[in-house]
Formats: sequence, structure tokens, C-alpha cells
Amino acid sequence: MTDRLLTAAWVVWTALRAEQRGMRTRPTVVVVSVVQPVALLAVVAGTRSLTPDRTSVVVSAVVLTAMWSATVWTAGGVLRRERSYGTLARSVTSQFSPSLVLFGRSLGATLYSVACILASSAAVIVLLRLRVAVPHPLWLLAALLVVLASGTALGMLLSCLFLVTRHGLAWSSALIYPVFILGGLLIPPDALPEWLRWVPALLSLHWVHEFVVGLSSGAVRATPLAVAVALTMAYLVAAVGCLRAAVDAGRRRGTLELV
Amino acid sequence: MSGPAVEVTGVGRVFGRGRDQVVALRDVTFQVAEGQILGILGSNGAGKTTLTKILATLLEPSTGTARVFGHDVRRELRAVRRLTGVVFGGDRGFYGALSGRENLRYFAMLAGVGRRAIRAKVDDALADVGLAEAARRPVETYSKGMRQRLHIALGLVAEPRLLLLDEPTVGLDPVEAERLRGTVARLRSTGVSILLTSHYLLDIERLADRVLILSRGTVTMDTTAGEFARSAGFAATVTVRGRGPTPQRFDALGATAEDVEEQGGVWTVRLRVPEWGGGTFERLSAALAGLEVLAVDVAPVRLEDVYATVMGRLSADEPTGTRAP
Repeated sequence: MTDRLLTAAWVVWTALRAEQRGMRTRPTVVVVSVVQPVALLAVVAGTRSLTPDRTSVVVSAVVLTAMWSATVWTAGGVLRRERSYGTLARSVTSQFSPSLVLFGRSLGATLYSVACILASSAAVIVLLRLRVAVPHPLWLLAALLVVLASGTALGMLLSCLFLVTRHGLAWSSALIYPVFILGGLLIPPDALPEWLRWVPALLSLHWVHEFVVGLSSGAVRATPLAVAVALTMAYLVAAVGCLRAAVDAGRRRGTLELV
Repeated sequence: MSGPAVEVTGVGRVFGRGRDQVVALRDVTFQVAEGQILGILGSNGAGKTTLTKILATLLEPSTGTARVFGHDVRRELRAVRRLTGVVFGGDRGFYGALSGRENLRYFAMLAGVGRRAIRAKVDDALADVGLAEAARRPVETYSKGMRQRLHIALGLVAEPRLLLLDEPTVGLDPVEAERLRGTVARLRSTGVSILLTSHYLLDIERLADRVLILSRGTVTMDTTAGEFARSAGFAATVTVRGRGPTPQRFDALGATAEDVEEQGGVWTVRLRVPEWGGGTFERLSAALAGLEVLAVDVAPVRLEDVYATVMGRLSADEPTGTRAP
């Protein structure tokens, strides 16, 4: 049992490292994980004077917005890239569950993106001398872990969906801005038409943002974080089912290209 | 283990539906014994890759059964994958930004190489294909031949009992191609069974114990390499050049003249000799007696000749109407 767990951990670790090594040379990573948060923070910081608690909310929104872009373009593109590299068949028909391999790669992409986003955001905060309130650092850390898990699971799900549609690149572009707006990351959800206000509830990042907004005012409200965790689990279950269905369909239809 | 390494029974594969339906394989049946090399020949679209994909568990057969060391490719995927290595050539199939070693290490892990053994096996596989020195370079800087060698290392790294090789020498220079043939021959001597698909008939000629010809998804010939070579109907081509009246008959040799050419009083005649044995040279001398012979060239039958003859015969016999993918 221990050996199986160690082997599973090794598979995840190896897949994670392989994905991260591949990301070092990908320009998209710089655009979504460095340029985007830096630009958004610089614009917001320059247009109005911010109180520390308001800055926390802004930083949270910027980080989560960049996180969504990164999820779509990096973790969400794992299987699409596998197909273009000609490595898809080997990755999903190995000795291990394809979900385990995809989990490792998606986690690798998410960790890399989050690290870049946090580093670039921190650099802007220091350079612009923004004052940020962090009243509950441990809860903030918990929120960050949920963001990591959520980005990984959402990346896996998007990756599978993009694989099934075969038009992943077009869907990647199409999904970015609607979620920025409908997810309540760039504008408050109550600014949306009433009939669209259910959409943010489906996005885990929206609930993490709600949680951070509460934290910045000194209140620890566990419900939004719990909802984010529940949504993350739902994404994960859906991704595993979707990947299994996609691989089975690929074997039936002959669409798992080997090279 | 007793029983064949590969057992394919009545396998068919259809792509699409209705009027777009394409029959890629139809009632394919054959076996590969353990330690045997089966060469698969066939023109483009004959179903070779479809068959290889089925055995590699990448594609389900529409009908029939295929087993690898007794494991069903439809139901026992993991067992089949554990026993099978696949080498598909081409420029793709790797992460370009990663080094050769990183790629190999990752795919070796996926192929089930244990974490304690992986370093040694990756190093061995890289050395086997002559990539040890370039192992740290990103694959995107590799030449076509180097990528092909990495594909081969990838197929060998998990030490499979069945190796599926699809055009393994494409992109390799003659020295490398010969080196690969040596590797394949060495694998056979260790008991590895090999399914070899190649357009280079030299690969088949040098390595295969048996030859299977696929034509429009159907097995049209399944025979030993020796029988296949004999199926051309001749054993050697004799080219004779001489002066004087052009000879028309070579009865002593039992051969008929083909491709008779005459230029400036010098004639060239090509003869296809049905058998080549101990008395053939004597019969050849008798057939040429009395002629002013300038040169004689004897070339044993090549697999290219056999293949061209067999395929020509098949295309003349085959009905049309089945589209290949």
C-alpha cells in the first residue's frame, strides 16, 4: 500500500516537474502570469488612493483574474498541447491512471503560474509602496491553497473539455473575458443583470475572492471557502469522468494519435 | 511462457458510418511466436498502422480478438501495455523544451519502469542508441535521425517482451540504420518478439523470420521469409552483354530472355533464373557457349523484386471498391 502511494506520488511529481520544465520557455506564461497582473495592479494603483484593506481586495481580484487566465492557457491547455506535440497517446495510455498523470501536469502548471503571479504582484506592491492589510495570514494561506487546488482541478476539467471539442484554442480565447465579467472578478456580481447572477456561484475563484474580501475587513467567513472547496471537488470528479470518457471515445474512434 | 506472443483472430476495423464508412481491416488473422520477428508489408493505406495501433491498445478492433501474451487488447489494457513497447517514428512525440534524458525519464516512468531502476535504464537506453552525449540537450535541437533514435530508446527503455516497430529506420543514415538492425537482432536473441512495419525492404530482408502482406485491410500473404523470397518465381537475375547476333533462347538455363537491348552491335539480355544451385554455373556456361560474351553479372533476387512482383499480382487480382483510410 505504502509502495503504491509512493509510486503515485512519484508519478505526480515527475509529471509536475516535466510540465514546469516545459513552461520555462512558453511565452504565454509570461503574458498571463507576469504582464497581466503587473498591468492590472499598476492601473488600479495609479487611478485612486487605496486604503490597506481596499488594496487587499484589489490584489486578490487581480491575482484571481490572472489565475483564471493562467488556468485556461496553461493547466487547461495540457492535453491540447499533448496532442500538438504528439505525446497524447503515451500520456493517457500509460501504466498509470491518465487522471493521475493529468493531475501532476495540471498541478505543475498551476504551481508555476501561481508562483509567477504572486512574485510579480509582490514586486509591484513593493515598487509602488502599496500598503496591504493581512489581518489573518493563516486563513490567507488556506485561501491560497484552495486557489492552487481549484486551479489544478479546473485546469484538468478544461483540459478534458478542450480535448473533446478538438477546438481547444478557440474555446480558450472565448472563455477568458466572459468569466472575467460573469465570474465577478473584475466587476461586482450585483452589477450583473439579475438573470445572470447565478453564474459566479459556479466559479470557485469567485468564492475565494468573497472569502478574501471578508478577511480584509477582519471577518473570517468560512462558508465561501467551504463552497470553493466543494466546487473544487466537483471540478475534480467531473474532470476524472470526462477524461475517462474522452480516452475511451478516442480508443473507439481512433483519435488518440500516437505521433 | 507457452503460446504465441501475438494472436490476432478475425480482427476487423471500420471507421465512420453509412456512406462514409471505411474498412481499414477485414478479418485479419495471424500469430507471432515468442522470439519471432514478423515483417509487415503493404502499400500506404493497407491497414498496417491500424493493426499496430490495435496491438498497442490505442484503438479498439470493431470485430475479432487480439491477444498479446494471452492478454486481450480490449479488456486487459494495462497488462498488454506492460509487455509492449511501441516505436512510431517521426519528428513529433516528444517535449521539445525538455532534454532527451528528461523526455526519456518521463516516458519510462509512464511505461512502468520503477523509480529505483529508472536512472540506470534511461542511461542504458541512451547509450544503446548513441545519444548519451546529447542527453542533456533539448530535443528541439535534435536532428531527425537523433529524434528517431530517441523514439527507439523510448520503445526499449521498459524492456518490453513485444516490440512494435513502425518504420524504425526512417531518417537514419546507413550507419545508424545498420546499428538499429543490430539492436533489433540482439533483442530477438534475448527472446523479444517483434512486429516490424517498414517500407525499407532491407529491414525486412535482414531481420524478419516471417512476412505478412496486408492489402486493402486483408492479409494476402503470410509466409516465412524464405518462402516469400521464392514467391517472386525466380531466384536470380543474370545480365549478359555480348557481340554478334542476339541470342533468343537459353534453354540450358531454363530461363527466358527479357529486356533485350541492342546498341552499336552490342546486345544486353536479362534472364530470370528460376533456381540457383550447384549446377547453375555449368548450365550458364553451356547456355553461353558459342556466343561472344563481353560481361556477365549475376544478382540474387532482392526483396524489392519480390514485393513488386507480389503486389503487381495482387493488384491485378483484387476487386476495387473498399476505401482505405
